[in-house]
Amino acid sequence: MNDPIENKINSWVSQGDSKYLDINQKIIHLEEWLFSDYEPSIGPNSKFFKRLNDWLENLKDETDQKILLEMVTNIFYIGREELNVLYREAYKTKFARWLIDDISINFNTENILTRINEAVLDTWFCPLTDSLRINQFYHINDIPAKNNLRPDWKSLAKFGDPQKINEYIKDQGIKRVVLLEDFIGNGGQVSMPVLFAAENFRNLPILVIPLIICPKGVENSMRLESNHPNVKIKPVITLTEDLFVHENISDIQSDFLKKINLLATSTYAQVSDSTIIDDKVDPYGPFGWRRTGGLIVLHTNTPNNTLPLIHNKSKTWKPLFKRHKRI
Amino acid sequence: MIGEYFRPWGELNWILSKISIKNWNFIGCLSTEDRFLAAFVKLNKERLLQSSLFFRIIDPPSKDTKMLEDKLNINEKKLKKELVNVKVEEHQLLEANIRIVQSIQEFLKKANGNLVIDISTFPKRFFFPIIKLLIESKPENLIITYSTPERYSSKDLSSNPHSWQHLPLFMPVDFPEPQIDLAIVGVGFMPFGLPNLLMTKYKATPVKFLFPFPPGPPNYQRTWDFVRKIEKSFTFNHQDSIIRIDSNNFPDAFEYISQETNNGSKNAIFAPYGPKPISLAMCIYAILHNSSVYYTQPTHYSLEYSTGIKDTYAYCIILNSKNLYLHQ
Amino acid sequence: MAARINPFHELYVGESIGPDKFVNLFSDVIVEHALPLFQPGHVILKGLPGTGKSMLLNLLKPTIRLAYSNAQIRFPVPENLMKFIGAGINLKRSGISDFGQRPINEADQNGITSALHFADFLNYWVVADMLNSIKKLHTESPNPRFLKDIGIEYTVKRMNAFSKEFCKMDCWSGYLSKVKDFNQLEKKIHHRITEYRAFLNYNTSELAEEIFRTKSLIGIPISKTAELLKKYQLINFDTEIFIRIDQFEELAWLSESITNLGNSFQEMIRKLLGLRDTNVSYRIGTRHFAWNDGNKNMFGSAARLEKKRNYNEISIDAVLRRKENTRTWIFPKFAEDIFSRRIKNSNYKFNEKSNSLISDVFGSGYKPLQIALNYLPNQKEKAILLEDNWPNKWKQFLNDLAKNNPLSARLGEAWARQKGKENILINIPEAPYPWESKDKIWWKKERIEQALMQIASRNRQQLIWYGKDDILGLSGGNILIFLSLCQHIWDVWIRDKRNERPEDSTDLPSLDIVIQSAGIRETSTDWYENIANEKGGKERKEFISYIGSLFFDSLVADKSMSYPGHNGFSIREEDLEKSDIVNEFFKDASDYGDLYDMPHTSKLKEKKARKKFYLNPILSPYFRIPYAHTKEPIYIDFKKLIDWLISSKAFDPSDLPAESKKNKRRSSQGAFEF
Repeated sequence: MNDPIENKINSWVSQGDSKYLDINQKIIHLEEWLFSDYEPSIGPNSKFFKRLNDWLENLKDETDQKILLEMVTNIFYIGREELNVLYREAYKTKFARWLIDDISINFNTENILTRINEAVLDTWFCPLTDSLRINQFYHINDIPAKNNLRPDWKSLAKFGDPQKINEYIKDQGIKRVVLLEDFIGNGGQVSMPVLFAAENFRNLPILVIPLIICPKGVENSMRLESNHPNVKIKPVITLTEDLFVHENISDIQSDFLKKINLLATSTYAQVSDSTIIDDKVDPYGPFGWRRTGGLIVLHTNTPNNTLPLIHNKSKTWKPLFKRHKRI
Repeated sequence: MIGEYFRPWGELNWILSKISIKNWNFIGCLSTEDRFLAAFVKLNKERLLQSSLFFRIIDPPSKDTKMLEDKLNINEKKLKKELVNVKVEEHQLLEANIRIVQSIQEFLKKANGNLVIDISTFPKRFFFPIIKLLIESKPENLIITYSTPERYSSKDLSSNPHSWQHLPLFMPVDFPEPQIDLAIVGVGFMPFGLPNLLMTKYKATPVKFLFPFPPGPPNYQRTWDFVRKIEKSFTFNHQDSIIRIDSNNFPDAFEYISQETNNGSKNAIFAPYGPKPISLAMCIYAILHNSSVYYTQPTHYSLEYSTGIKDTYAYCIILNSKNLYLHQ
Repeated sequence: MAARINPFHELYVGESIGPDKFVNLFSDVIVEHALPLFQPGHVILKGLPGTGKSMLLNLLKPTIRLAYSNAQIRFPVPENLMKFIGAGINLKRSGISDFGQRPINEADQNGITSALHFADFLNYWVVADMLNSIKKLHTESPNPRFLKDIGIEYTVKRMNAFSKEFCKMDCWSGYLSKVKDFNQLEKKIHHRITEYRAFLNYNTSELAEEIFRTKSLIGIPISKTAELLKKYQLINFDTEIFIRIDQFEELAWLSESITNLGNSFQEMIRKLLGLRDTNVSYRIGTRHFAWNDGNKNMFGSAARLEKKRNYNEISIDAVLRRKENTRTWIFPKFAEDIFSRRIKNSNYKFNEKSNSLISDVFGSGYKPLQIALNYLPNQKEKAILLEDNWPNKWKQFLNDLAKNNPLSARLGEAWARQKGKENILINIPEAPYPWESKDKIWWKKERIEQALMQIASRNRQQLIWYGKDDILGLSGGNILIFLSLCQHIWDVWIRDKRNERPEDSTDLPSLDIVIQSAGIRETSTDWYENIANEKGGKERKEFISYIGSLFFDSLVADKSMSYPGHNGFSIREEDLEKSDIVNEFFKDASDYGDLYDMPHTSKLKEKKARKKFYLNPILSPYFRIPYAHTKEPIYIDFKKLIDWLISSKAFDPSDLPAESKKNKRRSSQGAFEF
């Protein structure tokens, strides 16, 4: 066969590993419906199957290549359409319920819809970081855009003046704030702006909506909520344990994830093009930032909590879903 | 709940806190799954139940019959431990429609107009006609509850499907049958005879697939597998599309369907595979617009269909005699 | 730049793909083997999905007739049989099987009332469709010649006159008495059907009293309508009227839900055939089991239907499956025609003069030695297994032979193991070897496939599938499987070319052995997985999984190749009948096409009737066994069969008899006992 991936599959199946027939079919299907919109790879060398082959070819051992191939079907890929749904759910479900509680109405209230829609106008929707596409959130939900300014609160926390912000809030008649983020790993990155908001605007109800959050992020969120009664954190998707390859192999139940654990460790030197394992130096060790070990890819970018062997580009490693990094 | 329509839904306790009704008449389905009891327990704990009816549905004989029966007996005991008057009725999975109708008619005679039906473990063959009958009885209040499990079995959830047929009380009535402009299909785990339905009857009809998202994995991968299996025999064309809808967001699914059909000016048929809240949207729409609904009813359900209870949601359909899903 | 397309992307060719596409893709090869369909007399048309049954019935529909004419393609029926009008009912789609889901009235305790109204509904539906067909053919006729060929002479005057008498016919019992013209007539008929469906759907609380009073008897209105249409010369006297009743098996399945109900409805349909009506001819489309099982009683009569006397039968499967005499096998011609139509409808350039496009694309296959060499790129001596106690000269001989001809070496090894042939160990032969000699040609032929399979297994290789013969053989006479194979193989080819730019003009590819084997394995895996998608499929899949592996193990372990036919099993028919549950299971397995069964004339002295079963050929690649049937299958008895059923986990031991006791069928769910 000409195609190197098809050649590999055929060879493996011929040796009796018939499960790769099904895995191959799954990947072909997912490429057609999902993977082709991965933004950091859009361009002249965007072909997924070429990237896939290059990725497998990083490793000479066929057993390792098989693990990489099977891993593709375990990745949780959030495409453009998926992200749009999350924007919708954030607004129509998470925000709506919180708002109904905040304005203290029950279902017998007169003109309930009018009251809810009026309350929307008094709400300030902002991103936590510049990773969240706030305009997309507004457009998808057709939210009346009363507030022209939609700063990301990470920047506000760094450069902003709480007094000026307060004045803006008063001027605009803002009665509550909603802070959105696309992906929260363990919450380290976003806790600072949330604390900034919580502590400087104690009388303002604040709702934080992570579209996607990791289990460690949930733990940290609960702590934040308990310390700040004006803050509520309502994620849209909380990722499950089977999307994480823990550093400690005894914490892993799935046999396949155990194999990934071993592979991630054994290949890290090649992945990072370095013999140093430092969880403060990008790509932060075999399991990524804060040793999360995620199997998550967003169509906008791959989080650094995801396994570096999926996203890290180096002289000695070609990734499958290259991460666009800030230097 | 926001925007054009007020169609509240959410955690059951939250919904109950917003409604002042204290006496509900409950219909549920006794099942081998843990979640069959979740809504009932919550309502009973708050002493909100006036009467309760559980359907105990018996699958056709199989090699699992004895084990299924044992599990049902264990769960029936759990139900009776709730120390409230509960009626348990035995029904056969494939029984004649009249049996379902008679049961509900009897139930309605004694009900007070505040109705709750928990669809968590009801086969679609049952909850579709039951909801139709409940709505047609014009109750004062109608809430539908649904509990999600902690986890679904990783093995096949069901098997041995019948060939595709319309669901009871959802057959095409008009003759000659009007042209169908649109087919709307819920995406689940097991397509069974769905390709056959689409290919033999609706090949030239645009098809919209309602893909439940969230949740994410592990359901997510299995749902893509469903699409892949369909595509083996059914060719998607440019008019077909995959629409992501939150698996629990029934009002959103309903709104999407209404938009696609121009609120009923386009004729649609439905195939409610996949999560029940999305099937519920098809059910409510089909009731309002006399649409046909087709399904391949499995005749065997896995002993370990699901485990645990995660969330219990409630959907307000009728409040204070107002059907929230009727367009004004 | 055109992308590479797969001409077999669409598997199903039914009316739903659009009449215009249908006329280009439908193959008329099968028509000549189903001519009774186009001749007067009742016909039962049996076949599995994918055999072409629905395609044939579609030829009776007015939309398809019009499509041929509009496309200026000759209607694929002999000219002397073209003069007909078709109308009918699909028992699933019409909702007719909902009769019985709701009793017609409280008095209906024995189901007779339901059956009578079932008949009435069917009458009105078919009559409505007859009138609609004539209207449609007339209105959409592309030219006068078209109507002449069919024999329609529609005028408004004639239709009005027809309508006047039609409404007064006794068979309506006055239901249509107030109708004034054809439009009203149509509306009234439609209204009755709608009323029935509204009632069955619980949209109304009761059926109108008028409907109770004016029930019609099965078939009478249909026959009278046909008569009247001819009387008023709306259609010619020699125009046949063919009434389709499709998906008869729906009525059989109905009895699983509501005991005996389906039986009464089936008896109603049989009564139609028993009427010996010359005004119309019925075509009943069905799966085998629904017609074969049970009695042939007619509703309200002690008489029974008789084949040949009351009806003819056409079994599409029987027509298309390979028989002993391969020269009568029509499937290759059928497949070739369908294949070339697909290619002609695609953008591929092909040789117009080619005799076989299938051969052009898939090749004619490899010779057995070539295949063996493919399994052994290195270390050819892996083809043989030598016994320690064999003489060194014999071992050396086999090793040397294997270097050039590993297949012959394997055969030689088996020869030496067979009883009565052991002297070869001492008397090393010279070419031509005994197993290659002309008088042992059958010995070799019967064992080639097994030998190749063992060679592959010894070298841990997947079996190779390649060439026209393999594709047709694996199809097993089922056109859907054939198309599925083509689809998968083509998909593999397209994927393999994914890094190459598609050319503007694309020549028909010639697909190599690796591509074909990969595509065939994918197809086989799909079909295996799909077994569970049908009713009862879960258990059948378990059983098939068990015996597929058993066949593989048996064939591989058989070093002497004494049993090359052990990819099937044979059992006495009386053994099968010892248990209803078991009998039903195997009937279903055949009816769903998971197993192929046929009578078996065994070599045993006993003369009892036997049946032999093989896996559907398309499953062979999945289980890595040959699909060809050769020599004798595995002989088993009832006890062995039970053992297999339990070991496979298709059945629980408590479900099955230990001894030969007749046990009850699995009970139905009947909540309605008639």
